Amino acid sequence: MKRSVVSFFSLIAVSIIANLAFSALTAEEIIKRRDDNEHYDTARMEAEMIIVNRNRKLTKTMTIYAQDDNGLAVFSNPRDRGTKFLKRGDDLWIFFPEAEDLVKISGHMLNQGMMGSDFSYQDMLESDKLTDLYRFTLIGEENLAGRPCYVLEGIAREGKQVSYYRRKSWVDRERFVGLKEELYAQSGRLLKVMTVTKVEKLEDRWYPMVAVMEDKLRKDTRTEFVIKSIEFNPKLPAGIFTLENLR
Amino acid sequence: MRQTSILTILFLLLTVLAAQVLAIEAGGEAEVSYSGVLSEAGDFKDEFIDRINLEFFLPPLGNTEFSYAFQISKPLQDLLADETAVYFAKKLYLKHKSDKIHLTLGRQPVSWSFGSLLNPVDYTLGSVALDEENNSKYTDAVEAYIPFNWNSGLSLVASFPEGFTSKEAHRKWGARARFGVKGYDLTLNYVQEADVAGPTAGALDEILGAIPEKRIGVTFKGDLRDFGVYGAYGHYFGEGVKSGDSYLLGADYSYNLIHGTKIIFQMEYLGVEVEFLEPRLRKNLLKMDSDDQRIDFFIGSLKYPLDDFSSIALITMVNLDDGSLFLTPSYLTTLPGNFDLEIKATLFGGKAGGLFAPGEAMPKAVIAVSLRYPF
Repeated sequence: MKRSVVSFFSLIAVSIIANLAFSALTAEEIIKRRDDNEHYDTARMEAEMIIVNRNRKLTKTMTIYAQDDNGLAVFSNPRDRGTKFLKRGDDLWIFFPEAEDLVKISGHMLNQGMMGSDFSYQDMLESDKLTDLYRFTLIGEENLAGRPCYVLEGIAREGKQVSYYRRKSWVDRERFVGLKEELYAQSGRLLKVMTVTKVEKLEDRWYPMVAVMEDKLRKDTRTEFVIKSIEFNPKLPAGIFTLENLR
Repeated sequence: MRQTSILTILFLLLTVLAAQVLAIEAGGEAEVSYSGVLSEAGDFKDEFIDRINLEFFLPPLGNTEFSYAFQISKPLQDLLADETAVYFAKKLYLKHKSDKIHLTLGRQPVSWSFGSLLNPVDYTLGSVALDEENNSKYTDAVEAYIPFNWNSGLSLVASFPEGFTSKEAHRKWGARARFGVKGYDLTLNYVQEADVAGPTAGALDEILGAIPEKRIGVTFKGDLRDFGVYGAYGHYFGEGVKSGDSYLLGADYSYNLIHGTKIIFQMEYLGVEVEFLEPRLRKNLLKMDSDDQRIDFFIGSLKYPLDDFSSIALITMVNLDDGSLFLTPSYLTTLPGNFDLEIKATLFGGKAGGLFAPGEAMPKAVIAVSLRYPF
């Protein structure tokens, strides 16, 4: 009798766990739903980059065009007006407006802060799907700034060139948008923390509109990236990611 | 004299008003600088310069763009002291773009940089050197650019150092083909100088004037593991003169220091065969032994950002043949109010008679402080 009671409760427990497991999403599904929100085939955005160091601020404005791992940033603030960066695959080019000259920038600069910010050229100028770059596992659930979040860990897929070997992501459980990222080197050292402070619903998708990047290797500095407007999947002019277009 | 400055100020005011009414964007930079030169004998001569750079950003008309940028030097001194303001048009051109060709006609910059500190095969030699640019790259020209693919194309340039003219001898021309091959940026170029007497304000102008009228060049830039690598080869030739060659090889690298800041290194070697220079000029201008036919340099640069708003840098150029050198430390910071302050000094050293050693041609030191405001 005792044995049948234990079996009965075991059966119920197994069925509850199985039920929960089937209703919950896998890490891959969570990231895919996040990619559905945050990934685009092409995009055009007007943005502002505010570099903050202690009490001082420096603001740069730009238009960014992106498609897969190609990106073009055209600066419009007085100090940098007309400066353009073209990233195409692993190639990075700069256009100097004064001399109207184009120079290929060395590959080691790709992970450097773009125009002195805490965002690297790689961070700013690529839009690859996270699922293509990282293998994710679900490691827990937490509340972040009042929002329930999935916590996932992504390890770079073999053969993929990524700036950060490991990333820990907090993904909003209801809106499927990343709210925080911790970005690590292969050595395990925390390199950067990105926190999303504003999310908006645009064209039936939730999208992070304001993000703050903190370079954990630097003191008293952060960069706010503010999207003023964004157009998803616009038809970009042919040849926009070419040197002839930079000239 | 003061008319120029008064007209300039009126023009700037009208520009600001017109920009608001006509949606024409205008921007630029105002600069005041103070520089001083300390001679070997101990004399100190200083100079104050103010400068305004202004550029108009007009919306394109279909596939055609119009560009206008100019510089006015000493407008304040024109008003306040007995100096003359100088107007210089940097850009005044029309550019028409189509899928197959881009045509640019008028005053324009022609620069063939590829990432080196010195460029021995530039369209205008000496126009960009050690991260400094001068106005010699702005020229009256016609340029045709024919793209081949996203990172390859051909530029054909005909320029007129003494203004537009039909005289063939007064026309300079050049061609530059650029190719992207397996991550490397390769260029092949050819220049034929115009048959006009250039300025001979100093030793550099005299040397540039003695270089044969034709040159071909090859450059490359790419990555070798974590290093950026680049190089150039130039061959200088002409009728009735001895030919010469130049070789340049360089690398850049960035290294993580404390607090994640990176120090950026760039260093290069430049060797130039100068057989085309008369022995007298080799001796007088380059301080070479009269039987030497080659001069070798090491050029290096270090840049280190102190924080998001300030950086320090050090540039050096060493004559490897006589050991003389100059060192240029600098400090650049963005002040509250969006002003840029730059403090720079150049110190010359070496044994007496060396190319960069203090003496008749070279001072002991040069200092410069400049304050710039981009608007």
